[in-house]
Amino acid sequence: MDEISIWQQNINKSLACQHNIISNKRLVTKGINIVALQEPALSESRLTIASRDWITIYPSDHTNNPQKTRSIMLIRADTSSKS
Amino acid sequence: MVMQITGPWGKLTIFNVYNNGEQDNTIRLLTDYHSRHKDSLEHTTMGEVHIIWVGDFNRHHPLWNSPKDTQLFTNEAMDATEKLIEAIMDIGLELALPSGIPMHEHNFTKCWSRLDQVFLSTYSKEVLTTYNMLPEQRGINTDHLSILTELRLEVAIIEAKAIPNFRSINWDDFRDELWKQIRSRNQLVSRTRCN
Repeated sequence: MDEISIWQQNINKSLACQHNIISNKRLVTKGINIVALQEPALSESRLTIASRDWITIYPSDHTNNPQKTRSIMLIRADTSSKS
Repeated sequence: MVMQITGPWGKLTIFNVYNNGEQDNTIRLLTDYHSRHKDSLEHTTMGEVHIIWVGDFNRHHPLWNSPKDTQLFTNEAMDATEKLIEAIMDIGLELALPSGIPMHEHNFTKCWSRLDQVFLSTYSKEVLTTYNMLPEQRGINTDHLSILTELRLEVAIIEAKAIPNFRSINWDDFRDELWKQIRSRNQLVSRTRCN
């Protein structure tokens, strides 16, 4: 069991910033299980940047209007969905 | 956007908010969402309910900015912020982060202010263990600092499943097993043909 730890940040749509957060070990060392990003970076495929360690949750309208997405959440992949 | 987590301790609803500085649509939508989903947000079959709003609200007020930054507190800015304050008071949230801690450096003026907030349900303060901004974790090409919020609410973790490591394979054992399986399959095929 882990306590809920939320990391929040406005990324300013910076690919470098989001890569740096996701790839850096600080999320693990601080025991973060939820990442709440504002103004996330989107790739050319209109998806955000995440690794296999995270499940990305987009706003429900993201598929239709990805350019309007201003917040996304990542939840650590090993968090039980039954909790 | 909204995420809900449940556990033996009750229910936590997390709102991740980006509020456009030029308009109040997001605040209006949040208030509307709360009134339409009051039952789901404020009732649980076990434990307690907790609500947290995190995000960039793009609003200035002496409640969270340094009172010395009077240039931020124009009449228009105060009117816009009043709508946010009314919304959080109606819903029963309060400022989780202490006042005066700056989170954002303006691109041009290089002045520090506070746009990012954590609002937590009034009765959830006892589960809040840590809240802090992390100046050393600012990141590349962003003018906002990150904020860490820890809550004394536990979530279950799935144990990592062991996956085969093909680099450490014993090839003799692998060939024996492969041969055994091919032979049994061939026998099965020949038996099927006979029938």
